[in-house]
Amino acid sequence: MFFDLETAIAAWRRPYEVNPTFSVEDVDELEGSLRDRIEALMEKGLSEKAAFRSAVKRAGSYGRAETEYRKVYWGKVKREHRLKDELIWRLSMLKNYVIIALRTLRKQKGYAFINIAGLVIGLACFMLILLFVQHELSYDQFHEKADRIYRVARHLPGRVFLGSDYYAVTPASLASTLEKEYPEVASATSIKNQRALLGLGKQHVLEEGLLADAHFLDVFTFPLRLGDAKTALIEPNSILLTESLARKIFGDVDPLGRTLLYQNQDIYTVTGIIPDVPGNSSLRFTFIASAHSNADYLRDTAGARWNNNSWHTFFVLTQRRSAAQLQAKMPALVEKYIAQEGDDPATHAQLILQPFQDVHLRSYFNFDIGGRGSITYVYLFAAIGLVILLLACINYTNLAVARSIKRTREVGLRKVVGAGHRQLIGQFLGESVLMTALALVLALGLVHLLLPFFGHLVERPLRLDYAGNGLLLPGLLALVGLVGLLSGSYPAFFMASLRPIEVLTGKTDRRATRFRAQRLLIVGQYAISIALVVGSVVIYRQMQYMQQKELGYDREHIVTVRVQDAALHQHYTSLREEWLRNPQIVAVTSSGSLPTNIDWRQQIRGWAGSSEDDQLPIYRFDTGYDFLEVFGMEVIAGRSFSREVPTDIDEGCLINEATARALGWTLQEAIGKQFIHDNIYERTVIGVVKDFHMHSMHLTIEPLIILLNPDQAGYISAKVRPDNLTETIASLERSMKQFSPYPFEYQFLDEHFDQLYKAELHMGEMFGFFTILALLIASLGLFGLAAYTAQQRTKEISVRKVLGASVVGIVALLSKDFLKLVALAVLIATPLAYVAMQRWLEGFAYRIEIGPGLFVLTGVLVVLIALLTVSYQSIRAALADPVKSLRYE
Amino acid sequence: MLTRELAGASAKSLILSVLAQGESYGYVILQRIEVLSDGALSCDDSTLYPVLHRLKKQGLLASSWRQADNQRRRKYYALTAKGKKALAHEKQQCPRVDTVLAQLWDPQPRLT
Repeated sequence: MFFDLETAIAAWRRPYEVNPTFSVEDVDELEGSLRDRIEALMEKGLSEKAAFRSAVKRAGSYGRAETEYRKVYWGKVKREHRLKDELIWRLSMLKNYVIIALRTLRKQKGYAFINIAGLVIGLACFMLILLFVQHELSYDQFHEKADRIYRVARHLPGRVFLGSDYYAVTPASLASTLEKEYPEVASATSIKNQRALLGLGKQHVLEEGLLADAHFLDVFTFPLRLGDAKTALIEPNSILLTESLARKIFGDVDPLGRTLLYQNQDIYTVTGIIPDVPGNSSLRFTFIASAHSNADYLRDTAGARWNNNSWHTFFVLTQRRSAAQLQAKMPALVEKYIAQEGDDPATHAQLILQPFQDVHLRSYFNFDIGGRGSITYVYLFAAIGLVILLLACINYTNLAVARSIKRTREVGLRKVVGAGHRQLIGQFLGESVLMTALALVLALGLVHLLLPFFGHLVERPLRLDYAGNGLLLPGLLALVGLVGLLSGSYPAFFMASLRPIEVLTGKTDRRATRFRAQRLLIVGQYAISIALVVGSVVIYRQMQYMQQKELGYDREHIVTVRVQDAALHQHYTSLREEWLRNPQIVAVTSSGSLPTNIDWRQQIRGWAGSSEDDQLPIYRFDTGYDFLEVFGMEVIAGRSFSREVPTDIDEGCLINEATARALGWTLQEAIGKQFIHDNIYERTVIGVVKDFHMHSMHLTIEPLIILLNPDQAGYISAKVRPDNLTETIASLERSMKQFSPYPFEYQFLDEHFDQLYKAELHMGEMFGFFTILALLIASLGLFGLAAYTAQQRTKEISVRKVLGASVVGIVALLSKDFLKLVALAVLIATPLAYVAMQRWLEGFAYRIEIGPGLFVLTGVLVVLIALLTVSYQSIRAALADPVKSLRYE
Repeated sequence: MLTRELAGASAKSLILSVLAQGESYGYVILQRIEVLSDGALSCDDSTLYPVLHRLKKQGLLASSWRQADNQRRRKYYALTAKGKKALAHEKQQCPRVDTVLAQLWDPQPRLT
């Protein structure tokens, strides 16, 4: 480095010149003194540079001089143009800093890029997760009385369905009873999900909406744009539409007071328009029809029927904290209305009051109307987000320190010419904040790009709404500040504390403690990555297993149509004939539900040898005659339903192996056995069906009866030939149109199947996403550490090379250390991952086994990735010219 | 290296004494002090010059810019009449303080 005395002195002089405390004379005097010292020292034999340095030191510190001079000249008038000078100086220093920052960036493009990239990824992830968490926590907050709204659910001890004995559905009369008899309840409402065909003239749309009584708008806040809230739902045959739906049906015409055709049967009047339901609402609907026209509702409330549980009850408390009080009164209500004579009190239903605000994240009920979220997920995601951000920051810090080694000369010189401690720290912190701001801008771009994909992954409508989201902009600024300061403070303090002499003579620091922290970090990051890789692989393999496992029925090439139109039942036979005319269609059947998820639960009793109280809970599957041809189950004893045997309809039934096992019958014994089903019907077993998976593989195969019920069709399913599917579907639709105005909605049976595992599929995707992320971040961290160590050991490597070490040998030497770290990470992660995944797998009745092979494979994979990351630095270091490195000694 | 307080108090005497031998500029004054005290006393620019300036403000010193041949401009300081008087006063004061201290530290029998 070329040292110029005059430049150095000029640089030394500037701070004094612009400080109003020193007059021009004073500065000249001080400079003169400095020069005198330098001359004297040079006469003694020191170099210009050394003399300058020594003289500056002897001259005393700038700060002290300022203090002492001030003491003498207290009361001296600060001259105006001095302030301007100071300002100009500060600005030009700032410009200098920015130029240096940009120049540094350009010189260290590679490192800077990686550094920023790591931070961008970390910030983007954090923001995505933050958006998700914020969205989840905001559910249902828009209701005015949100903190006073509760819902009623039931606990039926012992009556388990699909794994839970909690139910979200209640009797229709509950709401009005609560309102009338309990002063704690201000108003209560009963609602039910309803899918309905709405028609105007020739157009029909199938919409998802609600049935609700007149108190709905008293409980929930859905402000009416048009119409009167007080009367909107009172009249039977009234309906509220959301704005979008109104526009869809009526166009720009004023919909208020107009009529439409409801369920292809009744005339309904539009009595109000509400704005579209916001994305963060548990209740989702495009219309609300008055419950007062619903036959079931009228029957239940008029006759005070309490045994039909198909409504959701919500209410508002008159006073905020009276829920516990009200809860205590619930058993009495059950006693009075719900419990039957002679019922064992232990089996009484229990009414549970749940705050509405807990519905989205903390629900655990069957047949729920909301509760799509999970608080565990939110916590998990929040934790992951924070960890990722922390890792990104720490990686940034590491790499920044490694990068800054190259700048020690700059720092040394700055200190020599008198830069203050605070100034230096300020410079480096400023640089860090600048980098973070840049990273944040890029991260925002990335978030915009990834948000739709991420939203789909978590199944939520996530948006970056700068205007609407009050926390967003200030939050982002705070993030820049926090991350910038956090990540930058370590390098800043590190740089500021460097001793210029050491630095300018080429000695660099090798403090062991910092090293250890970095290594610990690498181990941690890789451990997390390994655990995630294992998780991903296990989830993937379990999904594969479930996809490929023999279900006991066919999944492929079966078109299922959900029957919306109640009138279609009458036309079923004709429809079937029409369909079968098409040679592409192999078989057609009706069924109550689909074999992928049979959810009708009843019980049987009174079989030979059973006692009075013996009961077997079973699932029930209603079908038409041809279900075997369509779905392909196997009858392994006896026969299936036959059109030639008319008693099959009312008396016959098929059971599955599980039922036979539960009742202690062999397959042959089972044929001809009788029992009482649903307390009314006498059934005779005509055949036994091989066990098939009628639920997701979380559950074991339970006892099942299959009943012949050709007229009641929830679904009509057709087995089709695989070729020319679009044409086949089109022809199915054409035939259908002849019999029903409802839109033709179909789904393939394997799609139904996949939906059972939607949650797992998404979780698998999430895992994959985070795995790649974790590996990326861990690799970046390792890259940084490798860079730093390679730097530190330049001399050692050069000496080794000179002494004859080969490139391969040196690469091996450098890599050995890191591989030890990764190996440690494998050791730590393996047992943890094993335990965690084993626990997850136990949620499935049918699952894979995790063998040691998986961990070995993962370990090898991760070691390879680490090797790749480290090799770049190692090879570069090994190939470096030893002469160059050894020169600066 | 003396503590600041001590240096401050005796700096005045030292400077006045050095300048009594003739006018001089900052660096030389410093050198002289160092030499005369055998290296025990030295201070840096940031403390010396303020003292010079204070003494000047008090009227004990006068300054002027001189340029000797082939050399840079330097600010020379010289004792004023007031300064000479102050020095004389100091010379009187000092021994007394010194004697007192000597008695305290190493008492010897004296006649007076």
